[in-house]
Amino acid sequence: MKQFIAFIRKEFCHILRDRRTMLILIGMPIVQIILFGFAISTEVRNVETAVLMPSSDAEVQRIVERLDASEYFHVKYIVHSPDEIDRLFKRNRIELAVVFPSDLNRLRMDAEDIQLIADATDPNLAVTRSTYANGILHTALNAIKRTGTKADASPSLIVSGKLLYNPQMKSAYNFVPGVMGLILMLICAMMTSISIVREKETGTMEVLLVSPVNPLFVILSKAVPYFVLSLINLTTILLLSVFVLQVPIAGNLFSLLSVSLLFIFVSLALGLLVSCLVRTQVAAMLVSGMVMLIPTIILSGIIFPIESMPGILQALSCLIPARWYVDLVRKLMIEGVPLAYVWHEVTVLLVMAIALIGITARKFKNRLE
Amino acid sequence: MKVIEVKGISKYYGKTKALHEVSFEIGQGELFGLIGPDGSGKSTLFRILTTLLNADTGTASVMGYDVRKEYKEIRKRIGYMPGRFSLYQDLTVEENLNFFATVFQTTVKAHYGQIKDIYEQIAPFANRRAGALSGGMKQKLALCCALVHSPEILFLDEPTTGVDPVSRKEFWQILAKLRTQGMTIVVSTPFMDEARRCNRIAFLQEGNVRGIDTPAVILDRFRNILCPPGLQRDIDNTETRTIIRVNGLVKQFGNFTAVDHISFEVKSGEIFGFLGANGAGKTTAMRILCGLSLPTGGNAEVMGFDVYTQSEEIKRRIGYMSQKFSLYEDLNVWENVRLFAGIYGVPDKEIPPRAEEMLHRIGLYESRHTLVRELPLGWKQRLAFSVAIFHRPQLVFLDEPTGGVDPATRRQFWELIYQAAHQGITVFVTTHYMDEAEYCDRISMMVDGRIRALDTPAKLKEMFNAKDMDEVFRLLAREAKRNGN
Repeated sequence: MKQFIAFIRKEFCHILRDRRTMLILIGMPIVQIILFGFAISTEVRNVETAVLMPSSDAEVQRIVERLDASEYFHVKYIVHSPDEIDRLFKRNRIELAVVFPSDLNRLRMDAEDIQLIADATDPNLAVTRSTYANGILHTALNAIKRTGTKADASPSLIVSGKLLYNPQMKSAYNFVPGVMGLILMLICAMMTSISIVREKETGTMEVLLVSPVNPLFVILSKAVPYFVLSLINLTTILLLSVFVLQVPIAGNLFSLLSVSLLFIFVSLALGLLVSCLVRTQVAAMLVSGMVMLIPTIILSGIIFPIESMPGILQALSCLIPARWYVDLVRKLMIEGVPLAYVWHEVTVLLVMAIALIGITARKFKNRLE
Repeated sequence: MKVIEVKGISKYYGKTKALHEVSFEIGQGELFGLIGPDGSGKSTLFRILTTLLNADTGTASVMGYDVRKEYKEIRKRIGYMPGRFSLYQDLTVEENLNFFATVFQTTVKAHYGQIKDIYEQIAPFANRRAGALSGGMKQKLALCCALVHSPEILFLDEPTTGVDPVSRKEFWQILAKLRTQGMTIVVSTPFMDEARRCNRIAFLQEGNVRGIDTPAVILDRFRNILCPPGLQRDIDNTETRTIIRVNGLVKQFGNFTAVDHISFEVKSGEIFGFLGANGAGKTTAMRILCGLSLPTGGNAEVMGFDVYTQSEEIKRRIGYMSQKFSLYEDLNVWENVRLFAGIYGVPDKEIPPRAEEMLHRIGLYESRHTLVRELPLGWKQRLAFSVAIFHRPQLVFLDEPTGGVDPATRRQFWELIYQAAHQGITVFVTTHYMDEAEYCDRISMMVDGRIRALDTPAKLKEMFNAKDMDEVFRLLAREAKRNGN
């Protein structure tokens, strides 16, 4: 036990004395949360819009005003010929164009004659924008029909949607679970493996191996400080998301923390496994970076929805621990479901933890090479 | 009583043979030396005996315990210092020592008697981080850490490589004392003066034990390799042009004066030896002269160019080789020559004929398609030197160019230096080997940032009434107050 404490004390010295790395480790979650929460946003806001009006009409005017008044769209140009729309798109002045038909009588019948032209370089964004625009146009048209300024107002179908769990459509609700998965994976897996391999590189591992200490012990003690560090990060992320991004913890805090601990164990085990397999810090960094972080970002549903991936990638994503964790956090934190509803994900993570620790123990050698 | 028995040990790394049918025995209380060039299998042998590696064939036992099966027992009873300074650079001296004591389930106090003598020398730096210690100090600390649990056998893998002669001497005094206390010590060394202090030595070459006997017998039997005859330099150099002129040069790092008002001149075509203990300021001074670092005060001119304002001109006209700066290991010989020739602006047309001539001359033409990492260290050094002067500079700087090879290989290297000097290239060289110091035309000795002596080797020996340069060095370095840092 005394040895174990000595090891842990030494590890903390290493971490605390490497100011720059520590600053990155502590600061990274804060920067990421703030970046994802504020700067990077997929919400539709102030879309630069042009409107093509072949002829002026009071009702069309009202619809355009309605569009402009919403926080989503900013009607910047009102033009009268299709060529101008084309020019505005080419000059990158607008992101969306609304084209009214020249025959305004047809417009009164339904909204299908209004054309929406969107810049689809970012397809997701284009779809979201046109959906929003569509919604506003529909409401505006219906309002016109209902006020019955024209005699032939016919009844039309009104569909109202309700957005569950995230009524304001804040992207932070999506990013917070993702950032949690990313940061914990980074700290636990990458930093742990690098710090163990560093000892191999500097030759201190040789001395430690030629000592009565059980080498497995040496490696386990390496995981402890990073465990503590990831708890600190977990706390920062949760505090920031609740108080700065205003993402509430809808579910049970205890169950959220428990699954986080489970994920931390999986990541630590992954880090230990990497450290058993590679010899140099560069290799450890590459393996953790390429084999673990990038799939975590791409395949865990943080950025790209898993449901719309090809089958192979979907199957592959099942191997990524972060995918299950991010899913769990979404359910427990955002949706607020009880722990009993997520036993499936929890079981997957548990199996992963046991398997990884098993493989690590098998791969571990108490000699060099 | 035999404490170490090795029978028919062989070890291969893939196809590379590291050890071949090695057998020997070491008795209780013996100081046993392993000598041989880099890559001769010394480190592999250490790792097998310290249970870090399993041999492919053969058996070995340490204190009666089998290295393969009873490694746990062995690990409790031995102390080991690997080739590199295996310390935690970001922990202080005291923290390192306490940590290793705990690892070995003991305390510093419990065996303080064992390490007292050594520890007292580093105690003034107890709160300094190990990374900030000089080579000599690190080595003493590493020894303390290896001794803290009072082991029965001590394994030291080249503990004095990269350490200045004074620190080396102190280190061997410590070993002698440990031996009188009955400890068995196995040590490898590239220095023949250290080999002489052992009871018996084994000479390894390419994984084979070439001989085991007393140092006198081995050094005599293999004198062609281990104690080559001195070199003859016929100085036909009548030139008196000054190529380096240094006047009152100062370099400070914060409060610390690394180079303290040094002045000297180097004549064209000269072999100028730049000597000093670790941390005396040699490397700092050399960096200034190469145009890599700006001085704090004083003047220095290299080939008529001012180091303050014309460092680019200087860099273009010099050659530089250091132990650390070597060739690209994953390129072959030819590609390395081609690359560096291009970097130094040798015209494309001239490269192939000149490279062929050079490779023939240093005996590497047949290996021109071999990757550099597969070459023996001595060959790499010869190649690195030839590459450094490939663009025919007037002046070449060599920073400890011959670390880690046997005396015969070092002598071959010096033959190349003499050839270069003969062609009129001025050579500015630092070294820790005092036999190499004798090969220089003139030597400057730096102590604590100042030049304490500067003359030909013969005159220096006369002046200090010393029998060899080693003694001159020790007499001068004794004055050092900086303690190597």
